[in-house]
Amino acid sequence: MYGDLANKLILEAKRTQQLSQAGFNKQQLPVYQDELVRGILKEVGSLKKNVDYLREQQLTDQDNKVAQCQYVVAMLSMERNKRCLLAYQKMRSEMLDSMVWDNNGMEFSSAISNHPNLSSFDSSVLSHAEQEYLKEYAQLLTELKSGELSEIDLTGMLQPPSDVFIDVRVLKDAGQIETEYGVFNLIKDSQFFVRQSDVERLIQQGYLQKI
Amino acid sequence: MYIGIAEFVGAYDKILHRCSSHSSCQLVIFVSCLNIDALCASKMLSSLFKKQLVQSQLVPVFGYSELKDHYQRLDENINSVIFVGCGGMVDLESFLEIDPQENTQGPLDEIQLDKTDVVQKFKKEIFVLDCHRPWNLDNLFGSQCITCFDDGTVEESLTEQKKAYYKLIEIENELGDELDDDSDSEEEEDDRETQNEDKDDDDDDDDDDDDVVLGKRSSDELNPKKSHKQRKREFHNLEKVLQEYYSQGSTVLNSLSVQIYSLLSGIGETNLDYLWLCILGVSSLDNSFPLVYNRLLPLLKDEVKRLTPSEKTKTPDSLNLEIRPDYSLFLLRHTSLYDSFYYSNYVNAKLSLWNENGKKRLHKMFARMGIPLSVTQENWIYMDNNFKRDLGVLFDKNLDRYGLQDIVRDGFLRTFGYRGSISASEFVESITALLEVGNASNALENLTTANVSQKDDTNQGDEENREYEEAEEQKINRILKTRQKKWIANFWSSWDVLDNNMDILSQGIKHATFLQRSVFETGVAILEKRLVKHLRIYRLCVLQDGPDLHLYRNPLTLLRLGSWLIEYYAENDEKQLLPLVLATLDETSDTYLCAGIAPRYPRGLDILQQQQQKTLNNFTVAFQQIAAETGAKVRIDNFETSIIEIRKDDLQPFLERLTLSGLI
Amino acid sequence: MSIDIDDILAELDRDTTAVEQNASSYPDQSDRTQGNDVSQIRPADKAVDPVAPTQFNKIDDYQKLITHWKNERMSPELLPYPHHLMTRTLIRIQERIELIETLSMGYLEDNQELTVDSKLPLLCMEAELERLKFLVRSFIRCRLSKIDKYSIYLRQQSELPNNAGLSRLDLLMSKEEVKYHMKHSDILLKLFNNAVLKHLPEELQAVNDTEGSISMIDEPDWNKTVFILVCGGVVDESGIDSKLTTDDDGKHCYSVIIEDLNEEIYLLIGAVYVIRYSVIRDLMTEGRVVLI
Repeated sequence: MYGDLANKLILEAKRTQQLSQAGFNKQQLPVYQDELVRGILKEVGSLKKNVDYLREQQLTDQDNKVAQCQYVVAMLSMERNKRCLLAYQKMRSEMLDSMVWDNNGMEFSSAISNHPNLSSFDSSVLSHAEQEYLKEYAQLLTELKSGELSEIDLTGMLQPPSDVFIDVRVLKDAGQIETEYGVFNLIKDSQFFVRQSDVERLIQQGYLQKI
Repeated sequence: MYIGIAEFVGAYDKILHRCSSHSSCQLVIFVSCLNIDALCASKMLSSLFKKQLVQSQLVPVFGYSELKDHYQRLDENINSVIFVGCGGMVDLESFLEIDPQENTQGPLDEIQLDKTDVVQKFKKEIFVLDCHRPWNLDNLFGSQCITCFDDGTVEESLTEQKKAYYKLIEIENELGDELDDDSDSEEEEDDRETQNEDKDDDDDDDDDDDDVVLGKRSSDELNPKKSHKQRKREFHNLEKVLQEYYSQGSTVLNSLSVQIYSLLSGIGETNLDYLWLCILGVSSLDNSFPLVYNRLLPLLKDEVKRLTPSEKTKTPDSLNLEIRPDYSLFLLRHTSLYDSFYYSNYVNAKLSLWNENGKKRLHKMFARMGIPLSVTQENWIYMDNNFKRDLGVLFDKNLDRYGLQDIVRDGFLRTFGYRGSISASEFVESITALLEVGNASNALENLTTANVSQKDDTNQGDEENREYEEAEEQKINRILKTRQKKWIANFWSSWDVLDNNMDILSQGIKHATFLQRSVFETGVAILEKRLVKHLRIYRLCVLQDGPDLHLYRNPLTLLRLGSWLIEYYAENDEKQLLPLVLATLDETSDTYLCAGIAPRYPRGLDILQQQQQKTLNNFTVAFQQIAAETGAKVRIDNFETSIIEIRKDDLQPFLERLTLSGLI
Repeated sequence: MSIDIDDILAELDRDTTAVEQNASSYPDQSDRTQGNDVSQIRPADKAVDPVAPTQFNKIDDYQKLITHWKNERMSPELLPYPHHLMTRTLIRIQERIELIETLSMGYLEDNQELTVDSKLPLLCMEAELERLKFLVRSFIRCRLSKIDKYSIYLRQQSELPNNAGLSRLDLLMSKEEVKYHMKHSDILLKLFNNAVLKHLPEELQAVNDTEGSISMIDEPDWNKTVFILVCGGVVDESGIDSKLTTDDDGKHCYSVIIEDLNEEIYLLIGAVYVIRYSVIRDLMTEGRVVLI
């Protein structure tokens, strides 16, 4: 049936979206469904051939309702396939965008080892085009952040600041970490009473937990 | 140096000034993680610093090696370090490898050196809050950058030691190397002199001339060295004084929470919350050091009366503190009456509940009180109100018969609005259980299975690689380290409970019930099988199997079992109170966790008599010495140095040596 | 708006930048409220530098920023960027950061008398700064997400021949946002092309295809329901609120027409309504109504 493959693709997209909303694998995209995509493209190709053939036929035989119907169905299926493909791609690109924002616009390759949450980001789950997109978007974000608005740290906390000083607990042993404001000696299971703005970045990275 | 109670406020102000930098964290507090008194004290301290907006870091530590490790990794911003519940008995300067020269900050001009009251600035200053006695004298008298918060012990009882210490330093400075060089020749001189003296004594008349001659000769030769010899003898005597001081055995004589509370009164920041924390800290000492508890109780009662507001309306937010009769029963208000009697250390000791006779006596007692057994076995919350009301009266009438009159004492009850009330001792039970086990709801199952399965997992994965590479010692260290990390995580659950988190509190109570039950069953098994051997100078109990063996890997649980046993023996020993050595086997690491517990007086004994003959724990010194002598593979890492970990094979010879050494 | 005379005015007043009163979307309220001497002066008479923070009341600016923030978060479409306000705010933030730094440096040297009381002013300043930064951050992020969502629509709007002045991208968005928008749509388009569109037949290769059954361009939802607070108080040059009328009871209100129901309703001043966005859009742009 036309559109079956597209259905599968859409289901996959929906599943990914639900998983990410539920909080699992927020940083992980499932593998790019290369085969499905290619299958759909092939389908579109064959539909196109049908359409071309039908169009020619129409020129000769105007009242062939069957042919007209086939024509319409083929056109609609093509359109649908296109929409499904684009929807899938858009969803993945949006997830990539949010990942870049969450990781402070850092390149993933450098951030892998440092980030405790992002234990194993596998860039092989992305297609080639996506990888390029990711790089370019990360760069775009870095440029954006370093402009006029560098002071306000666009990738900072999106919740209103509460107290000036907060209690945070250290989740991982990380030795001494230098931040702009000072050096923090991160010993696992110790507790700090420090200024919130100092440790915001570390909380985002997952080293500290706010109490 | 040390400071008395009056100077606490000064030291506190000093810390404030040192650590109030606006941008970096300059204060680190190390806390002993298996000590509830330290937990409460550090909670009070950190709240105090929070109010002053001082940035600080709180690090719970398990043992000395960890402490050293962390200390040496501190960065330069840190300029004040506070040790709570640890560090008092160890020469910190040498243990932490602090170089006094390097630590001093700022130029020392000649002009400054002349002034006697120059205040040296140190890069890192250390403040020690510890109630373990004996104090290490180097910390007290010998170091300028270490400040020990003393509760008056030094002024009252250590004057002799203080003099001895300073004298020793004087002599050392004077004689310096000569002490060692001349030792041989001086010994010979000594011998000859004693021989001469003997001769002198014997032959008074005949040897007058000889005396004179000898005396002349000796005076000629020895005159310049006479002062040396005298000094040397003095030196040895003083050393002996200090040695005796150190080998007398250790104990806890005060509560950290009370010290912090006196600091608070000095500043004027006392309130009910702090008082409650203080009470909790002191109540935790009741189990093992009842003397301290009894001594501090009237002080606490006065404070409660002073701070309680006069209107006593109950609102959802009110957090009242009241003095109410409290029972030495085990979690009376959270289990059933029967269980609380059955599992209580005290009742067991008096009635010997571990055997059938004891149980019968318990039943008879309930019968006398007119409470049917079915009622006693109901949960307290659902128990008939009539009985609850009359309980006080019934106890008064009937407990005397069984010698249980001291069950009822004054205790502290805290009400949390409409959420319920809990007494200090129950709260302490809950926290202890949390420290032992943690607060996950499946924490207990995890203990049994996780330790085993975890081992299997890591073993399977790593065995191919590690089995032949890793030495036994490393493996044991690794296992013990992971366990210690878990205990440090438990520290934080208990910390959260102190914020009045009711959920964790009830978790803790459940765990406490379970733990006490297991302790009871283990105790019963021990007594029935007569696993406790009476070895003249101490009692020994070695646990090698049993269903709950894994629980005793935690020193706190081991001490719980130990105190159950020793309380039993305290009541039932006719002649002499003996200390107890309790060892449990840990199969995963092939070591024994061995605890030496000081003898205890039976409850209710005359306090004066107790104070005259203090029971000190000699095992701290004894273990260290024996370990050094036998060369056994021993880890003495815990802050309570009477708890050690010893290799399985080395236990037997160790104990034999211990028995023969006469150190106990 | 036939002739743009800004450049002529700029020549007249060499010291300051040209005043862009007409170009900004909301009439800057503080320019016309009483109590602020500088802002009452007419633009043509004395040059008011719209980006000099000292000439505008900080508190009013803050209130305006909050209003913009709330509106932006609640509105389904991308609202115009308040250029001057933002510039002023950013300048202020920068100044404050420098001030705090110098103060805390001062503290470092003289740390003898450091107590909570002496640190408090500094802490208050830091807290306020954090709040302001959060506000700006949230505002910009919200806008960026809308830019991403409606990028094709925005592009389309800006290319319409009859732009009403509001749709020019650089008025709608700040320079940085425009850059971001351009670049992002470029790389996104490139991604779509490489992954999908290249391989499709020619007639399907457009991204902004409106011919098929469903339009590919996402338009903002004009019928989204929003909560509004009718605040009024916007006066024209002559000092009266032209849209203000009175209803039957004699209370002041604005009158709007709901097209679908063909009804005219009165929105009382100071009241809160739940209403469709399209109905009150004009009022909101004029500042007579704020979204909450």
